[in-house]
Amino acid sequence: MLCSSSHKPLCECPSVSPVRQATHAYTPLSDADITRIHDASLTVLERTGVEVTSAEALAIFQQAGAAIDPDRSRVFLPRGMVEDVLAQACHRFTLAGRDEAHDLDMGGERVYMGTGGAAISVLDLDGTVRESRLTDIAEFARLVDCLHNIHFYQIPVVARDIPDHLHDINQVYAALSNTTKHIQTNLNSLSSARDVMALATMVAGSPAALAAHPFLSFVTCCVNSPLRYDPLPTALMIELVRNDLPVAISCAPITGMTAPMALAGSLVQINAEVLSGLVLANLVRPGARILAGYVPTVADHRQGGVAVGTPEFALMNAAAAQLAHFYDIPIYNSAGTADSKLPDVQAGYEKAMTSTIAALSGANFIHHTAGMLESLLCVASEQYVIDDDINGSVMRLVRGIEVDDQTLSVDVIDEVCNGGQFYLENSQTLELMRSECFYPRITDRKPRIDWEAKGSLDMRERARHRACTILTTHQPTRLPAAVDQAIRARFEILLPPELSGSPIPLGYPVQLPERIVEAEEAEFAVYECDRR
Amino acid sequence: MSLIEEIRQAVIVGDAPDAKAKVEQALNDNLTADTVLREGLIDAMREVGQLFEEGDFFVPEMLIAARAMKGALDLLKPHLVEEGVEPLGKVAIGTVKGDLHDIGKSLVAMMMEGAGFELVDLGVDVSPDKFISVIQDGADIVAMSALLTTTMPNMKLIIEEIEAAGLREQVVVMVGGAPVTQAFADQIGADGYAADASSAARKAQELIGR
Ligand code: B12
Repeated sequence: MLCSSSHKPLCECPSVSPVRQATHAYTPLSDADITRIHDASLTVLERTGVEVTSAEALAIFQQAGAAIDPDRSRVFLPRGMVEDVLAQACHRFTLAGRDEAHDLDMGGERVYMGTGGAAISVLDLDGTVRESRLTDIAEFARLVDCLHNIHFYQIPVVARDIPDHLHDINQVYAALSNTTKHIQTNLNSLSSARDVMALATMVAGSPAALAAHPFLSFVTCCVNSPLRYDPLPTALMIELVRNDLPVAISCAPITGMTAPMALAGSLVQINAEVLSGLVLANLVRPGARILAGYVPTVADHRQGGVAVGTPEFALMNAAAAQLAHFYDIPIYNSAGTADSKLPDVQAGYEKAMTSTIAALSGANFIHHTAGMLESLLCVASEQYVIDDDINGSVMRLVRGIEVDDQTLSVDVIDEVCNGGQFYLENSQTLELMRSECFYPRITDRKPRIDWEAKGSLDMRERARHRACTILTTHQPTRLPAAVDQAIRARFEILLPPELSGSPIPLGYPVQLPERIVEAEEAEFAVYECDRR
Repeated sequence: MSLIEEIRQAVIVGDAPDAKAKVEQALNDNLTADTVLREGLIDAMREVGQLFEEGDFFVPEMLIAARAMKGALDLLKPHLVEEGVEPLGKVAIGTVKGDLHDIGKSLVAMMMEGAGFELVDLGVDVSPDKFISVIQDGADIVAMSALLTTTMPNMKLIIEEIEAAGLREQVVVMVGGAPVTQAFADQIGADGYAADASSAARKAQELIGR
């Protein structure tokens, strides 16, 4: 059953909601803990060192004064050297949106929540699970473009229906032409890195314009824990940094598997890994725009699987934010992760818990906060819509309570209690009611009778409905036609033109289960009834 | 407690030195290697597997039990040969070229070892030639792991190379890893697929027909 695209668009895409400074709201580590973890990490770098097989990276470390054991390809970083190089690190920079309303101000405790990447399957709106494909990257980008509590778009799935060597260029193109939010991607080879940089330069106008207004950034998983450098992502990171592009250097050890079982020990190791990456990047280009990528993962030792919807994952992500704040370097970490296979109660609690904790810790670039299910293996359209509500609520928590002469409201209280009836009609209410509270889009707070009249839909069903509405109606800002044509002429682009250059056609097909389509009609009936 | 029971307990709690000492004692007491293997080691691992499936045992506990089992088995091996007991078979396992994910592969290796197979762990980023040469060296099962959609096609390539080398008839090919499915296994002509480590070991036993 197709959901019709004839109704009024629900999505008016207002500008991004204000992203305020967090206030050290959640800090699982004490100052003394932070110093001890920092100190232990430096000991690890000096005593155990990191394994580096890439000749280029080895030479860079050696030249800067690191001790090398060539037989074991091990690099030992003296404390002083780490501290000296870190002193040159970049503390604050902008990750741009193609529309500058979506610019992200990285650093301090400014919080942004976006999507995370490289899932391999999609749970469709009709409930089936299938392999992810290129068109998904365009569709999810269009969805995210419309969901304003999702602040950036890391390419969420792998295009499994196109040849490997065309992945990077096509994925970036599909994202760029469907959202004006900041885009982040990973890369599979040096040659495709050059293609992607060329494409981004065509969109920006020049390499200098791209560097000045980087609407595209990159994630490179340089470290294969424990403390081993993976040559390809390392080479990619070096190349990107040389081209003055922003890069997240991501490290993802797993407690009790590729990192110590003790959470503190896991933090020591990941911190050592991240610091060594920051050192390498700053040796390549002092002051390089780097996001310190902490992905401190947990294993469920009952089965051996990776578990990301867990309290320990949340705790370590918050602790990682504290470490990054200690170094005053922007952080890339994760939340909104779930191990559940579908948007159910489990997914809801996993996401709300991990997102709340990470955001309240003041992390900057929090990825995976939308769409993701099944321990990073699967995404679902309706989950993006649900997570938009969760993220909005979480961002409201981040904003906290503003206390000043006005908000203390002594005069208002006096006024209302001496003559007024309720605060309902008070001018303060009218002034603040929209900004003081967050109003989630699909979360239900209506009376039961109204809820029943609209088909008694649960959150997941309502989310499917909204996803369908957005996908059938939302027209994103495309790339300028001339640029789009030039890109299509230069690269082997496999995305159908109706998903990039032209407007979304009326009657655009999206599959929805029968029950939700019927409810949609019921909603329409209620609307009619109200008017009479 | 009988000596066999003591061996079982030593394996279950993963006490490798104790398991070895008790096996030595059993051999001195003229218990047959076959009895020690079946009633002691294999039965212990069966119980460990059950405890694991019920959620009482965690992966690291299973790992040390498998290690204890392997140590004891090495001691038994020459005696088993003497008694003419057929070994279960030799499994060569590795993560395919381009792929560095090795946690799942290592769990599968551990479970197979626990089930009594002889294991050759080829590690990660394993080239097709390595799989070929290990078959030439007598591996009965080749088990390949892939966690990336981009490295999955290498499994098909390896099967083709095994065919080209004329070795396909003499080896059982198993595949697995998060993106791998039964349908994919069928499509590339693998003999077996399993979604997790314990079913991988069961599948291997089934495929080898012992
Ligand atoms: C841990 C992890 C890593 C670790 C690996 C550490 C290590 N030493 O293995 C690190 C951080 C290094 C890593 C790196 C990368 N990873 Co990774 N990784 C994962 C993660 C989170 C968990 C994998 C895991 O260990 N699971 C636990 C084990 C126990 O489960 P398992 O491997 O599935 O194994 C079980 C079964 O599958 C089966 N099985 C496994 N093998 C076999 C073999 C046989 C014969 C049989 C019968 C059964 C069987 O039994 C096992 C035990 O029950 C997955 C997501 C996920 N949930 O799977 C992503 C994931 C696989 N990685 C991914 C990516 C993108 C990468 C990188 C490319 C990152 C990057 N952006 O640069 C690199 C690639 C490195 C490389 N060249 O291989 C993507 C895959 C995308 C794709 N195209 O397929 C995933 C899905 C995450 C994501 N959403 O982004 N990764």
